[in-house]
Order: sequence, then C-alpha cells, then structure tokens
Amino acid sequence: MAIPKAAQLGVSVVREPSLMTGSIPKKDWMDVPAIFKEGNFCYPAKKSMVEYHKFPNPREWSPDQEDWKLPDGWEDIILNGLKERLDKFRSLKIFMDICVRCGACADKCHFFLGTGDPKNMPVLRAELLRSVYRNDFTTAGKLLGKLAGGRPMTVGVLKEWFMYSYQCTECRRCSVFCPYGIDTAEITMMMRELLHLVGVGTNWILEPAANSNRTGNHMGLQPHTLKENVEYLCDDIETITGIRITPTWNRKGAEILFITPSADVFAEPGIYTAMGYLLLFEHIGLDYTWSTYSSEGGNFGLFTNNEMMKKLNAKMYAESKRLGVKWILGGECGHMWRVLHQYMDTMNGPADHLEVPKSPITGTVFENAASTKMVHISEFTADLIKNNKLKLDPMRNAHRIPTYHDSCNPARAMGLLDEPRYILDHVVPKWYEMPENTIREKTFCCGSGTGLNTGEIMELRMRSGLPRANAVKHVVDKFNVNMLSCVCAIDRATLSALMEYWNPTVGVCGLSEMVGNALIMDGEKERETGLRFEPLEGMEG
Amino acid sequence: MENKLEKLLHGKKVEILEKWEDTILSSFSPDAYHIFKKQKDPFANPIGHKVRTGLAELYDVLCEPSNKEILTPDLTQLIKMRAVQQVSAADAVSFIFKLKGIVRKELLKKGMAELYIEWLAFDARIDAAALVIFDMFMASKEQVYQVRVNEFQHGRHMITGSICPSALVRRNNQEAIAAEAGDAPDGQNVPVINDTCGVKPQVLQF
Repeated sequence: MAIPKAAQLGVSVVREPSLMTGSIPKKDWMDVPAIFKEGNFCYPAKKSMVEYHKFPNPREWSPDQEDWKLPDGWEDIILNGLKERLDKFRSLKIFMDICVRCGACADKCHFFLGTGDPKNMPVLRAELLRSVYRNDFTTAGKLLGKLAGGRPMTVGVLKEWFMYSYQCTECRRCSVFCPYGIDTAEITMMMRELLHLVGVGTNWILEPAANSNRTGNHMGLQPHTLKENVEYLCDDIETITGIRITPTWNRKGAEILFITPSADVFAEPGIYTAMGYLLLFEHIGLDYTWSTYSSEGGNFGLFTNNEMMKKLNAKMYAESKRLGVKWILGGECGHMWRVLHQYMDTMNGPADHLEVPKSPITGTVFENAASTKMVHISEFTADLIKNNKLKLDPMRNAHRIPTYHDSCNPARAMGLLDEPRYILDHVVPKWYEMPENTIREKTFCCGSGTGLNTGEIMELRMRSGLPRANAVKHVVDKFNVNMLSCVCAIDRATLSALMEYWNPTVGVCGLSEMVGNALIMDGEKERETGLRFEPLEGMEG
Repeated sequence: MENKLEKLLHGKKVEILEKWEDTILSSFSPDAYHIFKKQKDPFANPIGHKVRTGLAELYDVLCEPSNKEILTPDLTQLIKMRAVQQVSAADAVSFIFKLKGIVRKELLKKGMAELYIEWLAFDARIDAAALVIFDMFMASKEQVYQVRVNEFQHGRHMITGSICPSALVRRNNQEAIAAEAGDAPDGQNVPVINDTCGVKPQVLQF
C-alpha cells in the first residue's frame, strides 16, 4: 500500500461535521491544539511527589485547566534542556537530523492504529520535538521558521508534548520498520525528560519511582510485608503440592541474587508466576536469595529521566555486591530488561564484583550476559529443559490453550524470542502463534506500558491495545485459545484488563506459572489443581 | 421469497458497503482514512477490519428478513471499538441511519421509488437495529466501567497491603465449598477477583 508522505501527514483531526461539536477542523497539524478532557490524560504528579524527587516546580495543577502554572522563563528552561541533551546524547542529535519522513513507521504504532490520531504516527509524534529543534537549533529553521518545518516553543507545543509523549509506550515497534533505525522511544523519553524540567509529569510514574527509591519496590512494600506475601504464596504451594518451600532473604554468600517485579509478589496474576519461580528453584535446589532492598525489577526511572533510571537501577549491583553473590537472575519483567540490556552496563557497570553467569545445574555459561552478569529466567529455564534437568508433565496445563505475547522490551530490546517458545513447547500440550506481523520483533504492545497502566485513561488503553487484542481474537476464533502467556509484569496486569474488554474468555499468565504447573516435584502429593486452585483436567479429586 | 428491493440490495451489496464503510472511516483524519481504507491485512489495520466485517455482517442481517434472531460477533466488535473512541454516543452509532441515505441514492437510480411499502419495511428494520445497536454500545460502555472497577479493586488490595490476593482466592474458594455444602455465607462482602464481566453474545431481534 502507498505510504503517506510528509506533506500528506496530518491535515485535520475530524473531517466530517461532528454531531458533538458541529465543527470541521481542516487545519494543518501544527495548528490543531491538544485538548485535555477527563479520560484522555494521566493524572498529574502530586505536589508531594515532585517535592520528594526534588524536581522543579512542585504545585497543584491539572492538564485540563488553562493555566499549567509553569515557572517563569520556562521556554528557556526547555530550550536549554534540549541543548544540553543534544550535546550529551549523540543519538538524539542524529535522530533529530536524519529522519527523511519516509512514512515507513506511520502505520506501525498501536496508538495510531487504535486511535486514528495522526499525531500518534511515530514520525509525526517525533515532529512535535523536531519542529522545535529545527526552529532553534538549525540554520534553516532559524532563518525560515515554519517554511523549514520549524516552530517556536509555546504553551500549545508543550501541551502537545505532554499529550503525545504519554500516548507512546516506548515499545519501539516503529523502530523495527525505520530504515535509519531511529529509536522513536528515545525521542519520547527526551520529551518526558524535558517536561519534568518545568514540573510536568504524571503521578502514576513519580509515585512508584518514589516508592522504589524509598523502600525498594513500586508499591512501597516494607521488608516484612514482602516476605510475608511470599510466605502466603508458599502456603498455597504447600496446599497444592504438599511441598513446603522456605526461600531465604538478604542472605549473604548465596550464589545467585533473584530480582523480579514486585507485582509478582502481590498482584494477580503475577503471584502465580512467582509461585512458578519458587517451585522451579526448589526443584533444582538452587542456591539463591531474594532481596528486600532490591525488591523491584521494574524501573519507572526509565519513564522519567536518565538520572532517575540510573539511580533506581543502581540498587541491583549494589545489593549483589553487598550480598557477595556470583551473578543475578532476573524474573519475568518487561522494561527491566530494556534498562538492563541497553543502559545498565554503561550507567552502573562494569559489574566487576560479579562473575560471568554460569548455571550451577547445567554448567552452561551465559556468554550473552558476560558483561551485565544478569540472566533472564526464560534463558535459564530453557537451558534447564534443554539439558533434561526438569521433570515436566505438560498435561497439567492441558486445560489451557495458550498463545504467546512477545512482551515488547524482552523481544525488541534484548532479542528474547525463541527461549519462551521453547519453554512453551515443553510445558503445555498445545499452543498457537498469533499472526506473523504481530509477534516476535513485530509484536504489538499491550498498550499500557511506560506508566500508562492507570485507570483514568481506560478507554485510551482499550484503543491502544486494540491491535494486540485483535490478533488474540484471531487465535481465539481459530484455535479456541484461552490463555495469553507473556513475560512481563505490566503485561500481566494490563493485558488482563484488555482481555476482559476485547476477549473475555481469555486469561493472562506468566510463562513460569505454566512451568510451575508442569513441574513434577520430588515427594509431591497428587496434584488436583493448578497454581490458581483451578481443577486440572482428568485429575479432579 | 425475496422481494424486489431485497434482490437489489443483494445485487448492489459491494457498492453500498463501500460507501457505508466510508461514513465511519471518513470520520478519521485523511491520513488515517487512507490507511484504514487501503490496508487489507486485518492485523495491520484492526479498525478498518472491524468496520468492514461488522458492517458486512449487519448488512446481511438487514437484507435477510426471514432471520428472526442472529448472532452478530463482528458487529459486536465494531460497537466495542466505537464505544472506546473519543466520540459522542450519537456519533458512535449514527452509521446505522446513514445506510438509509446510501441505499436510497443507490436504488433510486434503478427506478425503485414506487416500492414504498418495501422501503418502509426496510427502514423499520434499520430502526429496530438502531435500538439494538444502542444497547450494544451501552453494554460496551458498562463493560469498560466494570474493567476499571475490577482493576481498581486489585489496586486497592495492593495499596492497602491488607489482603494478599492469594489469601483472598483461598477465602473465595473456601466460601464456594461452604456454599456447596449448604452453609450460609459468612456475610462478608468479598469481591470476586476473577470476574471477567463478559458481555453476553449480542443478538439482533426483530
């Protein structure tokens, strides 16, 4: 199909008279303002949260009010911030200059495909920043202004940045199709960073980031609560399998430090994934420890600014050093793996206090993690299966017909594509792939990542998740799929909501939950239910 | 037996559907319209796909008076899509009435003006469908609210830290067992976590 060129992009938002407004906007995209209404924006950060982070301009404000209470001279703050980042990040400078507006990314974004809003075409979303860059940082823009695609920094532009940098989940699907390899996610990251300079941010990101900073995890769970929650899970495991597991916490001298998203410990359906981890480690007798200090795989700093990302991420290496472990094993998290794979090494590495990860069970050396010293649970599990170290009964998952959702960050930011599929092949009798252009590198986002998993924008999330839900519906209709498996905690939470709306017969689970279901534990009692206490086919008491 | 109008509705199906799709797709920006209209891969173009299949399904229902009750899964998906877009309720369901104009324009060329009784019957079917479609729209809206409430309930448990969801599941199970055994529930208002709040299959009735 023909791909629209730059000139064609974004003329208006609505072409026909709306019964609601009666108006027919036919303006150029630059002249269509962002209108904030309850339901189309994430709630702004509370004053106390902004103060906690020592970010500028703490105040009470709301995006749907005319006056955003920006600080004096905010335009200069933004432009100076942009200059600083252009000097600091060569990638940003390149991304600003090399885009030829070919349009290859235009129809690849799930936000565009679900909303039809042209400013959600990645090329146009980037133009929101690029137009300001042109105006103030290029000769052509300085001389010709709008003729050269430039525009000055105004309140309207700032509002657009806020609207559309929070209608991007930094999933990087568009980057897969960009012939120049422009990472549009990093452009969104820069817009969000710049907005924080003038006190424009969302609470759902800053509060978990504050909690992570203070107590080590998003919900601010204190050490005893965290430990207690895992003990509840162990109680359930004992009820289901007859095996009592007693994991250790903050244990110095353990071989491996295990870090997973805290949602795995307290939120459905992540808790079943955590039960899967516990069973797996018990099954192979792994010498590992949990940590209360580094009790969060997620890093909402990635959605805030690079300094915050670095600060929160530093806990992982710091804790591994304090405990004296050999290497780190990471659970099923999404953006943790992007931070880890793409930034951790240069931000907080080199982790010379750690060893190149080597599986104590199979002897496999994970050369791919030679630098970061951190291995993904799916890599670890797939290696165990490959070396016949696990006793598995896939029939215990016979009540499930799963498909696999490649969580964006593990798939696109670290290339985790085949290991999860290999695991599925061994823990469930049958599973089915979604269509080719919706999986692996081309996977569609859940629509609610990067801190957009908040209830006040539920309709927006249902729109942006439509491409994913549409692909799931296909395998539901064709193969009776009833379970959407994935390897990301945000996915597990947000896909649950997405499925409730679009495909109510489909549940959501982590991969390790199905591993846990299938594991035949030494000394276990006859299993009658799965980890959710759901009856197993043919094994009912 | 098919009347004259129905025969023509079948004969002109492709042309009419084409124009009908446009009434929804043209409400998007020209760029989006271009992509939603041309891209035939349903996975690269979910909105275009849902509009196409939903309207085609509805058209068949409207042209087939002998069917009294028909399942319309594709139409349900189309309405779900409209229910989460930033349009008014009227905008979201107005497409059904636009069919009248399209069909008239298309068929008047064929000298069908005198078949007013058949026209009236067809209009009545469209009006009846409109009411069902509005119900479907409201059901979808209510479903979004329910999804939001369910998510909030999850969040509340997490934030207060007072009840581990796992413990809650256990309690629900115990209560279910107790209920099966004939014991009265303990009276506590326990939310059901796994409530999927699915909308029942939508049926068009005449």
